Amino acid sequence: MSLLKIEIFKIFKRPRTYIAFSVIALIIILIQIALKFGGEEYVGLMLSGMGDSFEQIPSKDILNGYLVCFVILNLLLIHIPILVALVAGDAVAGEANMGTLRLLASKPVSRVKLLVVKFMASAFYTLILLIWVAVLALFLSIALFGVNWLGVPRELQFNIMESDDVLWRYSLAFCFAAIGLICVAALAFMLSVFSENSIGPIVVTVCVIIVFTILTQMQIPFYDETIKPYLFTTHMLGWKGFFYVRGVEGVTEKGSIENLSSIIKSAGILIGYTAVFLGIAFWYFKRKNILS
Amino acid sequence: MSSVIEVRELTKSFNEITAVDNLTFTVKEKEVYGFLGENGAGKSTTIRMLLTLIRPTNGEIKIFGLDLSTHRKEILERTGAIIEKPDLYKYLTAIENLSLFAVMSGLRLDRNQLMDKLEKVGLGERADSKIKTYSQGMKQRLGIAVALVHDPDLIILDEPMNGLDPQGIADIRNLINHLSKDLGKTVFISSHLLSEMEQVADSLLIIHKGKKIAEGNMHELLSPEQSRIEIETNSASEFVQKLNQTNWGPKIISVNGKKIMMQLKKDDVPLLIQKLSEMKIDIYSVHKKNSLEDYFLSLTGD
Repeated sequence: MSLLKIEIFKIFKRPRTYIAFSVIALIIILIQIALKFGGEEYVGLMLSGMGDSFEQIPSKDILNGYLVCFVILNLLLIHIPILVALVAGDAVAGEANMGTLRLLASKPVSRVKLLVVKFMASAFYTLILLIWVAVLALFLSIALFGVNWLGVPRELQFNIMESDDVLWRYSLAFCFAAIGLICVAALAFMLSVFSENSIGPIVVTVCVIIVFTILTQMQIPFYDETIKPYLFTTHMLGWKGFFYVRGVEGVTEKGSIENLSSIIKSAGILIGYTAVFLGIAFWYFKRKNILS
Repeated sequence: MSSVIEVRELTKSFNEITAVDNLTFTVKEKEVYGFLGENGAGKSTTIRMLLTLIRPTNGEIKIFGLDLSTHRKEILERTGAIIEKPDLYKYLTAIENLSLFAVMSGLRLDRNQLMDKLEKVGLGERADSKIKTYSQGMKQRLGIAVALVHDPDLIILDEPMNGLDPQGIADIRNLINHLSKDLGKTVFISSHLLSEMEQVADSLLIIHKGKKIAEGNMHELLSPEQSRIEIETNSASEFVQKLNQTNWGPKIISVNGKKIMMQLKKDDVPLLIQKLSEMKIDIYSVHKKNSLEDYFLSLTGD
């Protein structure tokens, strides 16, 4: 436990750690300002492409804290991994670069234990970052915009949830996002073990996320069955599943989730990727010659 | 005295390159053991193997009588080290760095205990300054405090005098003497500074291209009774060939260009010169070479 405290202490003593928190706060507050002053126009645009029946709904009913949070998460959750890579990619490579890795590895702590606490500290940072997102995106949005029913746009339909049917969905969505982000942290961490300089693992992780995200979002049938099911970025979007509800004749079934098994499968795949990334990292680090 | 470090047939290869080749040596308790070699001779690789940073390709390392490969934790709990330059966390203060490495060594020290250790290396007044504001000498002293924080029995120092000014070098020399003579610690030290090594080491190991070329007690190696004589001649090959036909041949240590290094008893020197004269070998100069530097250069051929 004291080793974990040390690792967390080191992470939060570095100024660069706070870059991620500042960037997230800046983006979220900018989105909130934009929606506060131009939100009705934004909602109007959103509804205009969805048929006549939705045009009757007053924009102010739709524009509330829950929708603002959904919009923010939709924009942010694909970019937060880049901020996670900043710390996880630096975890081991940064120590090698500073020359402190050899000092750590010559202490009476096993390499496995050293790596476990380092990854746990990276995961802790990732969770704190996600809690920061939750506080700003959900609770600050609720404070600024209030609460009402949540309408989630989905192709040519809206999934509508009563206001008392939303908060638990966000709780689970954030838990799911945590699994996805820890998977990214594991990727950056694994690359960090192989490197002597933190720039490399951070850049490679960011490149992997960008390329995989582009492939995930490509609407090309050939990739739908050949590549997309195996990309972890595809499964990171699984959090949205908590906002896709079952309905009978246009009436939402309260407390329902349209495809829970798909969400569980995505979570399982992300955990599987995390285990593989960490397995490789541990296997290599145990054998690594620490030269720098 | 019992052995603290026992290394047997230690070898490390990186692909095709053999960095350490079949190295065997023993370090006794409470002695300062000097480890000499040129850049790339294999010193740092050996030290990294002693600290489990690198896995040996072959051979055996025992420290405190325990096999390093199976008793890593117990051994490292009793070992402190500085490996090349003392890189610490620049964004943390001295006391934070020391506290952190104390915990890594299994200790939980309060501020007073940490301050006491920093004051011993002269950093008490700068305990709360970040390391990025420290000079090289201060970093080195903090590195020593980190190495000694858990009061180890064995201290491994890899080039501890690098980058230090004369006062810093003198401080390290005094500290090594204090650790060994007053506190009874065993010190294993590598350094390029031969004159400094000559002043602190009790025993010496010299490696060249990964292989041991000399080992022994410093006084025996540099004994005035066994002088090394450097003879400059017009033809080293003729010199060696002619001397090898006499009983002077085995006394040749090395040949470097036109200079031949020989190990002789003091009283043998005039006899040798007389013999060379009889053999009509032209001699340009004869020098007594008795410093560690002379000895080291005679062995490495540089």
